[in-house]
Amino acid sequence: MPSILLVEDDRAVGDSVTLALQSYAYSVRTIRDGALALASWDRPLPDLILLDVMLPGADGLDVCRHIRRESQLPIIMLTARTDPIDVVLGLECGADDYVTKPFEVRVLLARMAAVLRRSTHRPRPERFRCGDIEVDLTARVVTKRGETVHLTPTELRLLLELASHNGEALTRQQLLQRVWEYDLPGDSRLVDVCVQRLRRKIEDDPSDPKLLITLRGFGYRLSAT
Amino acid sequence: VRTRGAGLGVRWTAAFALVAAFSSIAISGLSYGMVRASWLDRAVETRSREAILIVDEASAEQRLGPDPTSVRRSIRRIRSPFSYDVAVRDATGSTSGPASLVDAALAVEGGTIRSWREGAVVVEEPDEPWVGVAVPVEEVDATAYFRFPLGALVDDLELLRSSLAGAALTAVFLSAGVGWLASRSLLRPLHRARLAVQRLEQGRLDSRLPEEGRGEFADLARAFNAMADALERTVRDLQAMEADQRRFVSDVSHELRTPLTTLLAAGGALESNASTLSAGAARAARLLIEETRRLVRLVDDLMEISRMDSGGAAMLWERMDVAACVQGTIERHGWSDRVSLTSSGTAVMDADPRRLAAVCRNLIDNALVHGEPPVVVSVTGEDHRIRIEVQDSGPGVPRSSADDVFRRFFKADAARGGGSGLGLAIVRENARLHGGEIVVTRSSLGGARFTCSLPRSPEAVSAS
Repeated sequence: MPSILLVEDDRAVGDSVTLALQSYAYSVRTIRDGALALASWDRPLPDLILLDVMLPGADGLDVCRHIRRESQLPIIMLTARTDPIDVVLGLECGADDYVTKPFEVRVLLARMAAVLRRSTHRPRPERFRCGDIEVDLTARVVTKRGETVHLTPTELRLLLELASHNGEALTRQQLLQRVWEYDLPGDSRLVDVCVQRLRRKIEDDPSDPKLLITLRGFGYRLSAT
Repeated sequence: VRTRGAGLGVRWTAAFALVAAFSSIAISGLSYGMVRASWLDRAVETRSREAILIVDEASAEQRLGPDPTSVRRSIRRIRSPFSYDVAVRDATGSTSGPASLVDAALAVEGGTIRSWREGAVVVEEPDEPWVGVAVPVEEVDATAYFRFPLGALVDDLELLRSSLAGAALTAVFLSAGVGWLASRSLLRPLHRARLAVQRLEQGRLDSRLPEEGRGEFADLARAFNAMADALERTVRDLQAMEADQRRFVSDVSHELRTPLTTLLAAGGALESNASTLSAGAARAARLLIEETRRLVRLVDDLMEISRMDSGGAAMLWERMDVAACVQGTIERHGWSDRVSLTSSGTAVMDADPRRLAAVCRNLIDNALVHGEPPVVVSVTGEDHRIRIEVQDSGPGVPRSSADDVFRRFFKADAARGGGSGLGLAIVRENARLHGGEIVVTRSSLGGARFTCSLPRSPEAVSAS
């Protein structure tokens, strides 16, 4: 069963989430302190990280950035703050998704399952090109003019979803349904931030995108060239 | 704000000019008349004296001939500073010199020349007035009729008249100018006061008037400032109180989030182990979980409404299909057996998907909890708007509380609970955020009909 790292400082929340996840057969390790999380998040390496934003020791956002520098592991932020800025900041640090406290266990489970599917999913075709970008899905390797580009599973999934529509545009809500597997209207900033992150990795000039095109007031499409 | 009709400034200027015109015309006319009369009087006096002097001198210097012709010749020999003409007539009626002079004297005096002897008369022939003087020449029993033309005097009077008219005209213009300036300086504080009132009206509570000087306007400024101070104080107090209250609600809700997370997660753990619990424990667990969810919903709604109150509700616009949104809501909540959807026209609009979903969910939820199934939702695409109607078959909303149902924690029927009591208030706020509105009327199904009308694009929102 997948192993989960839960970084959460509140003991009661940590215990109850652990209990709930264990009852669905996940194995859970809990760290209560940000600094500790920075030091030992990868021993042993989990399949997925649930990261509280407000942490003693080190901020959840810093922890997220630190992990992202070394790994493309799925990360879901747990946030009690709903200020728009906080949500966007959290996502820009590289989180794949976020859940607002208090959350229903089944919602958390659904988000976890979706992000885990993204990191193991093997779609067809196994290999495709888009401009200078080459994607090899068997090895899960993306290269740009021969150089490896590190994409998180969510970023890769977003790229694949847009690529599979042959230059056709998708709305942000459609992308939320297909990539993040949301079953009800969600926060479109999730898509916007992920697109920005993807642009920084694959576009020559992220401020003047040639591949990932914005359709104002509608959504995004991948240029078919 | 424009002044209707002629402004105070124009009227003020006109009044000044009018008063100046009246007074300067009156003064000029009066002084002209007086000067003219006195000049003429003097002319008559000097000419009369001169005529007598001439006759005396003529009589004294020489022996006067017996006939009028020689008398006239003797008189004309006398030098005088005034130019004059003279006619002489003796008792027999024989005349020397222009007969017109004698005729005129006779005509003026109504056929007798007696009064002429007593002095002089001004004969105002058009263009050329002259002074006529009759002087008796006693030695020869004749009368000398003098005619002194007043050409120079007429020229002087002409000059006087035109300079008086010029002065009057100048006075009119000057006083109009003064009136205009005065009105400007008088109206400036009024203008300032108007601007200050407008600023206040626009909600700028720091709008004040300068209190310099004394007089009515300074009093007005002080009164205005005192009023503005009081208003500002009251509004600031109210705002501070409201902000405190809002922050309190927000803080409390926020503090509740952590324990609620624990409760929900623990409930989730219990739920997954429900099969291993005894019947009583399972029932207790279900109650615990249901009430926790209700509490979560209440806290979520409180957070949402306090965000809306503080103006911090961000809109994330997306193009979306309203009918699909309603359909999705019905399916997600398992309402398909009790709620039906009809739609006509295209229902694509720019909206915040999560907010629109909340509108649909809350309206249908309200219809199911406070009304009765079947619930009918209809989505109608009009030219520039989209109408969402939710009708139920319940008791309906009495006309008297048609507005109250959107109030927070309003309970028409205390026995029916379920929601947070904030659902419809949130619906109305969300409709407003989309630039739309919502009303409740009677449905043909017997229950309530909630009609939410939203513009298709946010441009229409910002325009209105």
